[in-house]
Amino acid sequence: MDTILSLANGFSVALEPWNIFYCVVGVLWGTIVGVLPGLGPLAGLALLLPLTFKLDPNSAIIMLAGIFYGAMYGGSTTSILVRIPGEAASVITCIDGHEMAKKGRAGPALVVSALGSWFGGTVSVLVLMLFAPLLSELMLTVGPPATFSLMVVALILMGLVGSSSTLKTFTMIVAGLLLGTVGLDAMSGVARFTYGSLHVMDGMSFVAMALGLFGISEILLNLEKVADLRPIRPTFKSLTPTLKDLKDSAPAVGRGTVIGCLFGIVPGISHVISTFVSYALEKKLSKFPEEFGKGRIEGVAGPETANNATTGTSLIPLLVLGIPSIPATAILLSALMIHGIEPGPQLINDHPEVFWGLIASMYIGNLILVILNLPLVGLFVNLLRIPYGYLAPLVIVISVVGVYTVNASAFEIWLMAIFGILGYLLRKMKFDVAPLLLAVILGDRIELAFRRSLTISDGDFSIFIQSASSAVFLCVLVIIILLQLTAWLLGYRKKNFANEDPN
Amino acid sequence: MIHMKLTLRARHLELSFWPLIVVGLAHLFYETIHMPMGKINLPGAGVFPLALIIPMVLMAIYRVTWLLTHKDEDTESIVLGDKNIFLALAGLVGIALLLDLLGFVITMGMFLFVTFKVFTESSWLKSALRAALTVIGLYVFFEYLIGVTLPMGPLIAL
Repeated sequence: MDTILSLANGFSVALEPWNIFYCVVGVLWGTIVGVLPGLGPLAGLALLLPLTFKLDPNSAIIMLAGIFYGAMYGGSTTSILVRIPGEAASVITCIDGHEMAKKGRAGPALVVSALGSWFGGTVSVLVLMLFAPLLSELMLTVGPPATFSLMVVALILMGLVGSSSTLKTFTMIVAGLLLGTVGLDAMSGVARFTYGSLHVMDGMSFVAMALGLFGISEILLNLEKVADLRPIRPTFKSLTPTLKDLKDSAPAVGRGTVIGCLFGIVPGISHVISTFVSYALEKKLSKFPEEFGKGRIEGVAGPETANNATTGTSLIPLLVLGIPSIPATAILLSALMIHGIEPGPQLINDHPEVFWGLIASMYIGNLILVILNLPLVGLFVNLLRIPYGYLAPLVIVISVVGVYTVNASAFEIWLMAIFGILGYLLRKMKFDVAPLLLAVILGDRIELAFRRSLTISDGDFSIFIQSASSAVFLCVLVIIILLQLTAWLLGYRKKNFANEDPN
Repeated sequence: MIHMKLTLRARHLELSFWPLIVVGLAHLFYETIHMPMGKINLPGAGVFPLALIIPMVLMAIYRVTWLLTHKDEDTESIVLGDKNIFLALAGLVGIALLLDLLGFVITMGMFLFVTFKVFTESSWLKSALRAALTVIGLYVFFEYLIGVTLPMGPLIAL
């Protein structure tokens, strides 16, 4: 009953005219960002983040969340029509989606993708709505030792499941934590690594880092491999799927929803992985596995649903624990903190209008996406025809405006350029830069939790074990490490002893 | 677009990257040991950075050792340094230097003009027109619709 009342209050916030407007702007911009190759949800969020500073917190978060799940919708359009993923989570959709388009069935692929995304996204928000309040009640009882242990678990998990090698991922995590120490120390006021510069007294600009590492570096990478895109153009009439299409895709949508909801909750596991798992499952369960890769509709329905089903549940670690599970949610975290809202277990109690307003807007936004996306597919196709030679400078200009508005200072532009070059080189060397950004945002919170724990315990490290919740998290950490070590050892044995003669 | 590529082995790039990291870490270490370390029940500002620098150095040493002892395993090539990339970066540097001096319209107008011309290989006139229209459109959008204050430079007199 409380949940229903709270949700009703949330709708009263989300249905305010300006908030509906910002929701529409967010989902449209998110879709555009998802459609355009080279601009992912993170760059799309980082580009608009500075422009939300003047908005009230509800509107800002509603718009940014709209960009987040809108980009997941948009990515499938380019995957299906051009065979180029609009964003990383739509890679797998290229396989069967484009094959369907080549056979003149782009319409059903787009419709099933949109419907599956709507269903997965809506269920995901439902899970967020039901579980987040319960989890936050539980987390209100934990103190700094458990907070520290939980964040360490999140970072270790991120390091072990990162997309590049474990060493490289951990290097990025440690580098991010180090970057997070730049500025005035929160506890003692000592200036660390500022070299007398006032620009970094509050720490490195997160917006400049995010835009540099993801926006500018992506543009630099794409400038190397530009080609004119020739998308397939479906007509509005051809969008209608058959009854068989809907019947075949329904179970895939159901399974994709479960997979996406589960994967979204775990920090560090990318939403990209949920799409691969969904595709593999559909292929395994299908009566016609040999047809996968040649235009099976389940190969589109499952992954796209899983992709969108991560959006709601990935907000659970962010809103309840204050831990961004993927880089895009790190931007949301940054936005909340800029507006003076500390995400964590107290968020639902201290700012119920923000939490429930966001939930309600996500229901509305998911519906707007499925209603707008299909009629506007022609517009999005035309966007794909804009030569990248025009898009790239435009994105650079928007990025510059974005970082400049943070402090009206050219220093931010320099920072963005430096991180742009760094991101470009790191990605060339197969480093995943996402953990670096996540670690930056978690760094000072981990440090604060650690130092507070030692202050509380008067220097006794056993506080991390004596605290029940901290001990649980540390046990989880030990289990994860043991499992990983076992996997490595088995891999090592297989590699080195595979050819040994047992006699 | 103009394409000119620089190709090198991935391990060579990494072998130049990691030693630079170690040098940087050595400097950070020097800065850190001059920070207050506090006491065990009140850790100072230098504790956390020090705890991060040490594993980072170890990882760097491990990686360099691996790269030097596994020359045959890592044969991937990396392509770097397209001319368009240099232009984009030079443009960013130019923007950082000139934005406050010349203002948004002039600085971005010049940037868009040069990049449109080079990236799309269209004529000077078309590039100039498109750049002018784009920058004016962006100015109106940001200044009047979004409410962001942009530097005007010498155009402030207008």
